[in-house]
Amino acid sequence: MDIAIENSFLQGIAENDYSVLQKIYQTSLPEVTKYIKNNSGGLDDAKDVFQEGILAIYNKIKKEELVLTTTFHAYLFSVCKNIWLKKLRSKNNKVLPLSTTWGLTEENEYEELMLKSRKWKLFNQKFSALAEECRKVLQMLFNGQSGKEIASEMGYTEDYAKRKKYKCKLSLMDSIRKDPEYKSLTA
Amino acid sequence: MEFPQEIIELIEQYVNGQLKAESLERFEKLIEEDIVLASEVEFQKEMQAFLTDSPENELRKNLQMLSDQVVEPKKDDEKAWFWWLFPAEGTTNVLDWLLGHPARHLVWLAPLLLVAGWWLRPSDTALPVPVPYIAVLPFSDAQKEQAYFGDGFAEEILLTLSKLQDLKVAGQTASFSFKNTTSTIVEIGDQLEVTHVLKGSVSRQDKTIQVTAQLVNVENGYQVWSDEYEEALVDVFDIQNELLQNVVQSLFDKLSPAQKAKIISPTPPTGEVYDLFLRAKHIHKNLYKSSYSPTDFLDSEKLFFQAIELNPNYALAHAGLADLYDSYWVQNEPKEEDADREKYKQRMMQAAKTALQLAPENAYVNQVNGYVQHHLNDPTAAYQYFLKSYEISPNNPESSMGLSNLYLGLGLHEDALLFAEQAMAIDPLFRSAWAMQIYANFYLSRWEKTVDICESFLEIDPNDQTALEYLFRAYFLLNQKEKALNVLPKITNVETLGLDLEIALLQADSSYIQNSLMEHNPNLAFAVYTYQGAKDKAAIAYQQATNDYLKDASSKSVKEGSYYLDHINNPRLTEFQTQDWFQAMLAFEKRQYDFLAESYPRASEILER
Repeated sequence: MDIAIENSFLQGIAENDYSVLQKIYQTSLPEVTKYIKNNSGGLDDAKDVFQEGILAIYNKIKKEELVLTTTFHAYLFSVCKNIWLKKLRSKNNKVLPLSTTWGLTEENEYEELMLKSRKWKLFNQKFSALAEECRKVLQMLFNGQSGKEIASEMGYTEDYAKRKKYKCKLSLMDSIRKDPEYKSLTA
Repeated sequence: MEFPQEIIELIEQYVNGQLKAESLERFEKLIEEDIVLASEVEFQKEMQAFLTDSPENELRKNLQMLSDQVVEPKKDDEKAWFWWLFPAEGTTNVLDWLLGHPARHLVWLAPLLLVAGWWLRPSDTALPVPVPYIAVLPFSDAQKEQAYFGDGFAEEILLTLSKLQDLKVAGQTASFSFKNTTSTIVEIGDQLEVTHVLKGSVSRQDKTIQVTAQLVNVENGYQVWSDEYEEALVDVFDIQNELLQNVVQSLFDKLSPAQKAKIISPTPPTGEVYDLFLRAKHIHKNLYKSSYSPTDFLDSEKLFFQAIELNPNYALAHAGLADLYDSYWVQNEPKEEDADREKYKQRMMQAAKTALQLAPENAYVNQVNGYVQHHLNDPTAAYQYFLKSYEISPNNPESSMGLSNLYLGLGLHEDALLFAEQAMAIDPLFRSAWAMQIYANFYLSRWEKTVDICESFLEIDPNDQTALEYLFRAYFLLNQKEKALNVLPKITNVETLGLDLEIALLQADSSYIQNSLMEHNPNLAFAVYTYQGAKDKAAIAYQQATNDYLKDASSKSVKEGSYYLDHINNPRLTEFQTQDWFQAMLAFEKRQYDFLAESYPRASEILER
């Protein structure tokens, strides 16, 4: 195993390097998909699990908890396999064995990871459905820009920027709250 | 539960750690006590966390993008749609391949079909795509005393749609003439010859506003689109923006970014300011411009002031105010020591300038600045503003009329007429365009034509004072004494129109005529002698008038315009054409005319752009 090559995958994830991520998708996703398809899942499940797997690795890199003792590909496969088993378990309410390769046996960590992914997906889907103008205003707001800065960038008066910001936010919150997925997430 | 704006902002500040210690403590206590507020805070925290541009979210976005690109692979046994193009294994003969599958016949048929298609093509290879033509009717207002709001709301929509070059919009006067009508939408559409009609209603209650709107296809009477909006009154402009987008999208199947940029107001006023603006404009246009009463003037001015006080950056309120002062300026002839006129002139210039600084690309703002400069006798500046207004909003008849007024003032009557005709084509009931056709034809000495136009307009409005006045003048110049005298009683402010001599001549008021001759004014003498048929005396009087005019000519600025067309076409002056003194005056006027005609593009050139 060439440690430098394997670590370059971790570095690519940490730096959100698109070409590295693309390579990971090309090399690792087919095997994960094959496994999930053989275990009661489909391509969409595989894609979700794969995303969650990479994010789990990203979190571990950030926490500096990750030292590769195997190839990156094998590690990612094992993480994805555990996530899928966890999903199946919660779906079927059955106890299935989890691999300990990942080094994370705490149930909460899986729960949190999956919940976060579902929420992120929902919030982003609703956000993308907003009018372009609203998206711009809210993006600036969420990135900490002041009302004055939003007004100046959008060519609004400050008063109008405030109202626009409020209205866009209400419309986003409303669409999220009305979605059945949100209800199931908060049930 | 929907929290008010103030609470949402407070939560924002809390989430962003912007609350000061004291407020933070109070707010945290509130969160502890109020479970609903606590859940709202959590929700907003979460929303912000997911939607901020954090490295984790950016990574999620890239992963999502990559996932979206992954599709289910095709099954091995599925053939591609173009499988028949390729020869089966072992095929070596081209003919066998060509005839082996019916679809392969296309290979030799396609060129033949192409040639046949070209040969049989219709003479017009592509049918022109019809340009949608829309009429916007005044929006009915549930509160009758606030009808100005429904009218004003529809007017703003109409003016905004006029900015789109790929859409024809019926003029306001013609469309608004169907207010309170019992005609159906299809009947209205047929009369206006439009393809679509937009109608709607507004209703205000306390601090909310409901708007309904419906777009109908005139050809089949079907509703193309309709919607209902309800907003806080303060956000009425959001409804307007959304409604405009929906209408354009329905007419064109999509809304292009260029169209969107033209119809969306990025800095709209609040509902309160908008309401003040519409009321002020309504009083100016519908009351003051008919009554010229000081009360209406002051009422309108006060409302504009209030709108500006609430939103000093609202360009249209400044432009509306300048427009009001301009009406005052035109209406009130200069008197000695008229302090008010000077005061309002200064205010007019300031308001027009402010509006221009705030919205240099707005058609109405440019139009008002054009009129201000036109009335302050700076045609060069006026031309620039009027032209810009026309370029921004070519489908708005007001834009054409700005140029028409300017060209009339310059003595370029033919051009003024072309602009007026353009405005009439958009809005057949547009009063200013009718009036301009009357003026231009009258000054071009086409008096029969003037009579025709005045009579046509009087069929629409029997009491229109401009039409009655010029009908009287034209009949007088055509020596149709009886007809002129019949019109006279219908003119209300006859004493203010300077028609005294004409009336005296028609009524054979010898003392008035004698007094006019005693004034030693050669122009008056010419009028009297011409009417009396005393040709020699008329010629002497007109020669005197011409000499006086030419003596004064050295001080005459080219800016003031040319009377060349008036003189060359006037049948009462035909017999002087060969006289040297008349030729000298014509030569002077021609130089003026040529200079102006070269300095300003011809109307046909502008209209064809």
